[in-house]
Amino acid sequence: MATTVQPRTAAVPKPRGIAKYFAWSIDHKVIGIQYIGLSFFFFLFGGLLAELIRIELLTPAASLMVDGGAYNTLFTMHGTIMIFLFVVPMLAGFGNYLVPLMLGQKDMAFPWLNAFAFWMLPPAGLIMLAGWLVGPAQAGWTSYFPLSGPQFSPFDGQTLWAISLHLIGASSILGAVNFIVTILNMRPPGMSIWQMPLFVWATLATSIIILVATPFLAGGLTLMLLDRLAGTSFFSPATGGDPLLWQNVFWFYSHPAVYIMVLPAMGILSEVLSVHARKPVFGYRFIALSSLAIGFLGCIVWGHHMFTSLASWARIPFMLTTMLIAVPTGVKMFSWIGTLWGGKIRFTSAMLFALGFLSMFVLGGITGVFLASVPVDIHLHDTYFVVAHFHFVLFGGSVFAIFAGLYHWFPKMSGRMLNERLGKIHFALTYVGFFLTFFPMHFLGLEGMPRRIYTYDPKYEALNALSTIGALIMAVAVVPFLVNVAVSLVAGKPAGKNPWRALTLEWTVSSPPPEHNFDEPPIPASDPYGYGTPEGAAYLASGGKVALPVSAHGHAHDQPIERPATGD
Amino acid sequence: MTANFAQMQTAFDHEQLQREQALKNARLGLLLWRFANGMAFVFFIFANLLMRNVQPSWPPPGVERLPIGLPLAITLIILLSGAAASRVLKAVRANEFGRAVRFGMATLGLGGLFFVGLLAAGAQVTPSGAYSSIVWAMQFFHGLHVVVASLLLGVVLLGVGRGRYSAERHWGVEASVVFWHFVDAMWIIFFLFIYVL
Repeated sequence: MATTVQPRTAAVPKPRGIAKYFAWSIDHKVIGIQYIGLSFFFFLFGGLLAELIRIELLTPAASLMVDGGAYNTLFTMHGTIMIFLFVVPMLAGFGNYLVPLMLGQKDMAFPWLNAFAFWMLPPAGLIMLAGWLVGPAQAGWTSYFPLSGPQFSPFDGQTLWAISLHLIGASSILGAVNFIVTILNMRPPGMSIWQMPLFVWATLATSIIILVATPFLAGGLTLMLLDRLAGTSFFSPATGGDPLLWQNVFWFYSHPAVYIMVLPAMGILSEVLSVHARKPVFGYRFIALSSLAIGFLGCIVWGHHMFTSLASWARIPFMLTTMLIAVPTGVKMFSWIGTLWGGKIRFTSAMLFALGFLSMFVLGGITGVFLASVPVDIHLHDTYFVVAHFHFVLFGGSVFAIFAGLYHWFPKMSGRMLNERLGKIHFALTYVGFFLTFFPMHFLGLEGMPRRIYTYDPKYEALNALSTIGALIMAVAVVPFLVNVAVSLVAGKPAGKNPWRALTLEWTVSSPPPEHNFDEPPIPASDPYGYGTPEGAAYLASGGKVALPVSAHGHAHDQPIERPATGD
Repeated sequence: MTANFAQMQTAFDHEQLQREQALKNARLGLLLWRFANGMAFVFFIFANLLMRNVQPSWPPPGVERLPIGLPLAITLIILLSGAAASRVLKAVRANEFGRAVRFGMATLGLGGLFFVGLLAAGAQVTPSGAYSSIVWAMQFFHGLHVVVASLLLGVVLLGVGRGRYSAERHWGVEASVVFWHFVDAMWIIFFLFIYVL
């Protein structure tokens, strides 16, 4: 990281067209799309595993699986891939693509490091998949000891699992350093920290959580590898180790990881809701600060995953901190509803997915408060209620927001619009399929059906069948989306600079943006969410050339920032 | 002519600004890296404390307390190496590159001595399940950082010898010295948790 910027002479011609996404590039836009493409591949793969799980569970008896081991592998790999190779890198992809553009910069603070962080992921994915060659991991994505120990997981897939996660964690930490430096040091003149787009705020909060929590994952994986490869005894009680050590350090990372997966999604939501409702964001500062509050609280609640194994004195503090998270989350929910209230809502596909998030995430959040309560949790621990809860948060939350983001920014990334009719079909099928898959699981859990089993009591059959039908609908739902993307890339309507008439800086440049993003330093709107205000209208009318002096947040620029039109 | 000169001046200012921005970014980046890296050290302390928690005593019954002489000696050595590392940066800032290289070699030498001492301290531990596992893991983890810090400083010293740095521009030197201090400080904390507490 020397300060000397060596002029990189292009000895080899740069790959053009689609090829550039398969080559080393330090352009944050290429890297962002690389993240999105790679993680979407893993979304489809992890989805396939989920479909196999649901088909097995259609009937109470074993049908697809020869033994429980194969089923264990399915849910282990489904969970691991969806979390570490889909949601986390997908949202990092949005961050990479959008943060420099939203801040009016040419690139991230450390472009080379950015590319390096991305290129740790394909090997990590291959190492994860290579598990199938040597006996794949079967210990669940949580990999509790003794399930992940030599006694029950003697095969090398578990070791590869840990190595793969190590790489992903390192990539995530490097990415977070890059985001924080970019956001804190590289805001354009005229954009105070209170005028940053809320997606940037969310990325900042997420990156802070990554720096605090991910080193614990790395440490825990190191101990697991030492136990498996070097014969140490951290987790085995037989030699004085403590199996709860893994649970503690794993959840010290993995609970905050829930917020790593949902805060950027919430950031996407703030952008999409405001633009498509043509209303200023309600409670900007509260939304921004609640991200930090969620991040802070998220790091002191890990014990709620271990109520059944935790010392009883520690239960109540963890219960209280967990319940407290509902407060900043509620602040966000009500702010979004306030944003929609009285707005001129356009039901675009992006908006529909964002509204889908609002409705589904509320359910996931509320069942989270249920599970925070110690007696309820002890009753529902390891049942399908928990499966329902976290899918409502992760699919009903993160995935809906990811699709909202894809519909919203696809025009910017590709220069072409997606077909709205196909988008609405995609949304309707996903919404219905999702609800049908996961809502019945609440009842299954309340009736006592344990998770992670491949045969079950026939009394659970009807609800499981419903759930499987829902899963198949979700699989069908992906088809119109893939068709839409493929067709639009070739023959979509040209998007122009600003198809949604949005006020954030990424919309002031052409779609897709030129390699250097901005021909000249851009002037940010005084209020990035001033929809329906005279300031916002003037900014849009001038094509992003004039920012009026007074912002809606009561912050005045010292002087009106104005640039003479250059006649572009 | 004047216009040309003005353009050159603007370009120069621009480059200067970019360099200042890059330095500012690099400093914050390294600070954040040290924070994350420090959290990994915190992790080992957390693990150490949790492992004590399930034992009736620490070291566990039947396991002898580790002798403190050698660890104390290598702690002093790494403190000395830190002092030498500070002189490297000071010398570079005073444009005294020969002195910088000499102090750099001293830093690396003391670091090497520390590393050998760390290996010997590891050899003093007899296998005893949980206790030896966490002690070795902490020694291993810190040793790894000493190796990385030495490689960084070594590469930078080669650069100093070849005149790559100046009193005005020496981010590489600054970064490697700052990282060296970080690794020093982490050892002091580890020393307390392994040998004293």
